[in-house]
Amino acid sequence: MLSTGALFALAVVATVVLAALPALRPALTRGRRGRILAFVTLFLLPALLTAGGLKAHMEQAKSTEFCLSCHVMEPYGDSLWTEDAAYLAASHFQNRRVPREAACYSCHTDYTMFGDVNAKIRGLRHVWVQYVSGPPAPEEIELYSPYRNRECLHCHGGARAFLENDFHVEMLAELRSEETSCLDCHGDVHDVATVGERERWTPPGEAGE
Amino acid sequence: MSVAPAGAETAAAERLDRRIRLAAVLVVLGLMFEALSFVSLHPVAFFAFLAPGALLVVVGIAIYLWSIASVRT
Repeated sequence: MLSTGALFALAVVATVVLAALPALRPALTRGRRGRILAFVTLFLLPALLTAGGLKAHMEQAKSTEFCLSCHVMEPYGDSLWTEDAAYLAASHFQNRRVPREAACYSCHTDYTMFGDVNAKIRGLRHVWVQYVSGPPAPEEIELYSPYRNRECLHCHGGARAFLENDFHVEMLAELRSEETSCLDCHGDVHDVATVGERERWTPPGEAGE
Repeated sequence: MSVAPAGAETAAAERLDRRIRLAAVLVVLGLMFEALSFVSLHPVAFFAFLAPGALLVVVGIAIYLWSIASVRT
């Protein structure tokens, strides 16, 4: 069975071949069949393929591999493997509370292209900073705005363990209104400044690989 | 109904051909950039998909639509 990527590639190749016909012999499009060919290859298929391709890229951008493909993000990736359950990102990642293949996106759903217009503009700026002006040190990177409880409550909000904790229930209104941040109590998240010095968790069976 | 002179018709047909060719070249180039952008999983690949890829396709489609909309029969 062909993967989505292979099907997309095949569709692109077919469209390119067909669209090359009016490019080489535009007079073909004067007849009825030629007009239909031109409409399909110069409008319908390219529009569908571009929309499908954009969707595929957006999906790929949710992957952990995509986020960590920039060098400056590597310590954040390393912090997911920290051998210390106190670190929120590490404990979520290692215990599969978030899918490992989309770990970053699970907790940062409004980052760059997934956020509002300002977030998208910041995403453009990040590319500029990465390749032109030079990125800051990983430990100097900060969120543009305080981390929102929405990201935590999306999963924990209705969870039994959360609701059976009296303290959480007492604070629920404050948490929902963002008056109090979840990170006020659960504050150790990535701590990339010291990630190199901390022990790294290796899943059993993967030692020495 | 007025009939355009033969020379004018030929010129209009040639103009249409030129626009169709330009549109097709842009669409083909754009689709090739879009396809190549899937070779890598990286923010730069995403930008390569958007520009030049999608940008060329959109401009090509716009030129094609404009060319068929501006045809006078």
